[in-house]
Amino acid sequence: MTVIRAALDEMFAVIGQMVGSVFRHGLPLTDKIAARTALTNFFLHIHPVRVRRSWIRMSYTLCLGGLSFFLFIVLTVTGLFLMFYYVPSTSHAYQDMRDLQFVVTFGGVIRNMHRWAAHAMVITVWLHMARVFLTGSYKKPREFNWGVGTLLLLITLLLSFTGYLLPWDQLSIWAVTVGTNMAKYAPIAGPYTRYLLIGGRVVGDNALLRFYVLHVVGLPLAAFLLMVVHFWRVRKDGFSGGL
Amino acid sequence: MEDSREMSRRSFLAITGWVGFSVASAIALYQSLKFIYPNATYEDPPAFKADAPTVYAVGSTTVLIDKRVVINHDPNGFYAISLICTHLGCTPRYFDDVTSDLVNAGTSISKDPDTGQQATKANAALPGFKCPCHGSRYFRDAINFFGPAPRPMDRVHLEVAPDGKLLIDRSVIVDRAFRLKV
Amino acid sequence: MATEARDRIAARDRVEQRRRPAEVPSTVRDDSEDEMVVSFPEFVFKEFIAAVAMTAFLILVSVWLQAPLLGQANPGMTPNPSKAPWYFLGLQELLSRFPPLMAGVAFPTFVIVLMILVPFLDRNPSRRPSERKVAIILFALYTAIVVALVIIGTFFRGHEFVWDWGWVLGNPQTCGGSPC
Repeated sequence: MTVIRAALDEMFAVIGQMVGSVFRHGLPLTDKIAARTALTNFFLHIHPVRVRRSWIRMSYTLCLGGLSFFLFIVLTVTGLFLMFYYVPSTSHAYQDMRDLQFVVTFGGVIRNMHRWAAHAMVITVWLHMARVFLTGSYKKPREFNWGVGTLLLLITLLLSFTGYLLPWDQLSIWAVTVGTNMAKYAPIAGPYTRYLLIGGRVVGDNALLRFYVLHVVGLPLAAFLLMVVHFWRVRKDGFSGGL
Repeated sequence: MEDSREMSRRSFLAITGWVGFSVASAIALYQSLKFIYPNATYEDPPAFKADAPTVYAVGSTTVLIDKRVVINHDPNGFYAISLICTHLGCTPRYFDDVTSDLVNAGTSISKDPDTGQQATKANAALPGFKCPCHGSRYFRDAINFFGPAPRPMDRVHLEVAPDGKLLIDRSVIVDRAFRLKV
Repeated sequence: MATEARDRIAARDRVEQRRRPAEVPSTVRDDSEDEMVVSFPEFVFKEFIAAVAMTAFLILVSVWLQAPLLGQANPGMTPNPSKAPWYFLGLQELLSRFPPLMAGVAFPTFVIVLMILVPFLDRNPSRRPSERKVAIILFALYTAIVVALVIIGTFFRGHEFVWDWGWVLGNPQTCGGSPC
């Protein structure tokens, strides 16, 4: 009996050590423990350990920046799921979309979530920009971060636009035909830019592959890097706080 | 003296270094652009064969929608139109009447320079093309007369192939006077 | 030019000298009186609630609202009308009214550059809305134009992109006369 008791004790001790190695400081019951947790946790490190109440007032931030970042994560996860079934070729893409909608279990929900989250992200990023403008938060010393934010808004739109082609339906091909023909009017480099962008004279296989690569790797990577800079600068330049 | 000579050697090395770095970057940029610029595309080839010329009656307009080409047969001969809107690249559609709603609304429409036809109150309906994207309109001979299209649709080369069929090459743009006589 | 360490140190010292009477920019609010709280769990909890609410909203919308999927892409058949995604409809509206070089290239470039330069063009140091009437009115005007163009493009542009008061209700998009 005592042998079993000792073994159990030993087992609990090991489990306790395992949990303790992941969660160093236990539940954040006091400010001191909470602060130490925030200081040593990689993911919580995105925030300063201590903030002033006015910086995080919901009626001021409306949490729009945070929601934009969260939607980016939702889009990454749902996009990853869609990639398991989607082949970026004119002979497969449309059938894959039909399969996602009608054959794959929960395929429709994942696709819908990806689509609606993309629309929502355009809205939250835009509103975030409006909030920052209306509170004058772009003013010294945050001029640079406003510029980074503008580029992030641009990349959000480009991500939506490249994603628009991928279902390869009538909506996709014509929106992209019109969009890329606009590039043609740029002086001198225009026609070359369009050829480079869609990899040919018409929106076809090359265009689909190019937009796919930009949509799933190129632009998200650029967005991620700019977001890292954006968040870093929020901490370094200081929160804008209340008015 | 010695100090200034040392300085110049330093700055010489620095300038050489920066020049080398810039040249290498420029080459890398050139290489990247060249790499993503396709040398060969496996698109539908620009030249294709239509039917024999006798199939197309004088005064007819035939839309080959798969190829986005229109074959017109005038009293003067044949000519082919690339059916791509010159505004932003949508595919216009053929209609027997593209003018009467404008005429009835009081918009004045220029004379079709090729056929010499003019849409008037008495004779309001002229055939032509309408683009669904931004509403550009063209006469039957591809001359634009309404909407944002900046110029007429391109006319492309056509000839009679050895087997007697019409051979149309969409990559060769010809001027408006071009006619194929058979 | 001169890359000597002592030159750089001297230059740094000069900059330091000039910066010495450092004043806090007037745009920074004096918030030293505000209560300090730990960001975890206080702030993290707020974000968590916002994220959960957004997830619930997205799932509900995704279950009830199908994302559009028309017929397979066909280069020979342009749907009537053909529209860009809603956030580009303002641009499409401009494209149908102005030359493409202006509406499609010059105008967007101008807006993007202007936006990045906003902090440098706005010389007013105040952040109080009552003291920034011009900036706020300009921004409201810009927003109103964008929103109006998007609404026009979405609801009032019918076949051939012609103005139509009842397009969305009465005349759905067609592909050569039949549904897409």
